Amino acid sequence: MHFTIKRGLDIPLPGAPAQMLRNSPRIEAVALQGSDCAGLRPQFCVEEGEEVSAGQALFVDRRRPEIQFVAPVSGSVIAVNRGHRRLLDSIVLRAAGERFRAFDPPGRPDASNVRALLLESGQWPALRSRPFERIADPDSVPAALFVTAMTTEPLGVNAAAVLREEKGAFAAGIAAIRHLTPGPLFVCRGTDRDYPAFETDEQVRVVEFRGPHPAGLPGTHIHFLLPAGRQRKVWHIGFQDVIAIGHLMQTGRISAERIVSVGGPAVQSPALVRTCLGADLMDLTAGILSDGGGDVLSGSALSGRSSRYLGRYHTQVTALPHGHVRTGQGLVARALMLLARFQTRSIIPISAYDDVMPLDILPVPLMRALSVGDVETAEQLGCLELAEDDMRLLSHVCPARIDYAALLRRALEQIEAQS
Amino acid sequence: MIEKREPHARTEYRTEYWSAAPGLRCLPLDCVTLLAALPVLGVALFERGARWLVVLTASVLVIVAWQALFAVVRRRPWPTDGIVAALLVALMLPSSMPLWQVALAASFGIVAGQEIFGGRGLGFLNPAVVALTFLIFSFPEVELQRLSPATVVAAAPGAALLTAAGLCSWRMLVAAVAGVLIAAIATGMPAPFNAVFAAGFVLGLVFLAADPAAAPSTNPGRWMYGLIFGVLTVIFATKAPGVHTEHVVMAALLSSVFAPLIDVVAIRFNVERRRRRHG
Repeated sequence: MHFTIKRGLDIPLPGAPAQMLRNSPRIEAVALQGSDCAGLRPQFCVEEGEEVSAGQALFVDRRRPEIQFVAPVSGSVIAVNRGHRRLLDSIVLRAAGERFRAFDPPGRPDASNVRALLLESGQWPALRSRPFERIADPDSVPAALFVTAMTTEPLGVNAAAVLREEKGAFAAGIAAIRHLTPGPLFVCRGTDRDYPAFETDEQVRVVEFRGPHPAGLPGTHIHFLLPAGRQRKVWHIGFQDVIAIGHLMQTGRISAERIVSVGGPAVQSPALVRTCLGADLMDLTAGILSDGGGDVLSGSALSGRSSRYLGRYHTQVTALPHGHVRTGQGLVARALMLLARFQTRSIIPISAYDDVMPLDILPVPLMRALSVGDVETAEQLGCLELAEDDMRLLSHVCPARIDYAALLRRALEQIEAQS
Repeated sequence: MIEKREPHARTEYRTEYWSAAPGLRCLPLDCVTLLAALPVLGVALFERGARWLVVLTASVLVIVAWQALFAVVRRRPWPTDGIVAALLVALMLPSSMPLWQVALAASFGIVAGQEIFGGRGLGFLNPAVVALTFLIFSFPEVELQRLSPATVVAAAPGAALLTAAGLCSWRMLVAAVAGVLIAAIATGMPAPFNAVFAAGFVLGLVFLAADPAAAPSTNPGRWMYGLIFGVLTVIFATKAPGVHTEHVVMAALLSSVFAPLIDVVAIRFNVERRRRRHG
């Protein structure tokens, strides 16, 4: 199957990663962050100073204790930072040694033993469900499973290059997670010729998406293939998590290895880097930032966040010069920033919004409903199909720079609380 | 000090870095419209002489004063979008216009057309259109400026800029031209293409009707709106020897009034289609 998306926008940014794979410098610290599991109430299984091995549970979800969050690497717990209302801020490990907790991958995978293994080994949080974009509910069965094997974010990872490296593990991962759903499993990939050949059947289907961003977002794939809603839950997972599950099935050890793109205008030699989940970005970018350093984002310039550590679902790191536009272009930039203070503060329905929205969703009515908190209308207009990343381009083209991702999350939380 | 209220969180200027159009996105929308209108205003000044400058200044001063007053009362930052509206009002006025009429029209336009709704983007009318309609209704002896073909030429770069910036939807432009042609042929108007290139129609379309704040906010709506605007222009012009500014202003006002309704219909269709898709 094949979809070509016309509307959207590829934002040109300097510092695209070269297609060569480097090993990362030594990562001293890794962290699990609360911002990756918003609203989760943790119950901690370890204390500060404790030694942990890779795959050992650090905390569980208080409401669904079967969902474990495990140490990606072995080492010692150096900080448990509690945030607002005792939610998790971050839990930081110092990496040391090569101790692995051993798991017993089932010889004949089926629906229940794969579920049990993923939960026990802490791989479960890789699965997220729509609507609401939350960690998948272990007690539910999705109508379909989407594997996102592409990215169209600015300066993103070339998925084909990574998949070529990890062909076997990816296939093993797919063979395991296909048991999670009785419905179809869609492997959504780009049109790159470098994608390795891949075995498909009735259930496992390869779908190609072509076009500008957001052609690579799971929200786009789900919308075109099997839209999510109140009646239909679907799950999605990133291809690197599928590779990690494949490694687990093959070796009985969890794999925290991730290949991320490190790019952006403030990076000297942008490239793909082999590193680990939750890596300290100071370690990761040590020595490769241009003079004067830069603001390091976990994620892309479009959807990333300023962070010390690599986010759970991020496969790229972007470094921008300090102050971005403001100091980036000297006098002209300063004049523009001054003018920007006179920018409109309300939603003016310019056609640029429609030009970046490829889904059958009317952007301006949705944005208006979200901005006044009219969740009923927002739901009718399709907000249940969407997640934060689907809104980023709208904020990018918005003259008023309103953060529609935050507004969408607020509406989703409200709908979730009501139902 | 005027307190600044920020109703929503805002995103950072991150993705603009060295992007293809570095400034255009940071540039306030009003500045883009102003840039687009500059050539036309230049031609108008050249044609109409210094006295027109007085009309223009009066229009700007009155509108800016009203906006300042509303800004102070509402404790909001002072918006600058009224300047563009004031210039567009002046563009359609002859230099012989009495200043008190200009002031009255401009006041009515900005207050009833925009500020009572809370500001630009919150209402559904273009203040310049409201001001001009006020003149047409209140002073039947007044004749709006007959625009020259030179202004049409001067409007071309502006139209291109507005379309590129997404302020003026190409769908609406195409639909409006189609609307004029269809209606002109249907009513047996001689030389339908003259109507399309009439200066009043071109300028009214690009600067008044295509204002995104007064037009529908959905793409299907924009097609419909353009068609209605074109057809109405011809209908209003049937009794006259050609398409004049008055006809275009009235057509712009009426189609703006229909714009929210058009949007509601477009949204209904979308919601219904989505509901069926989801089963």
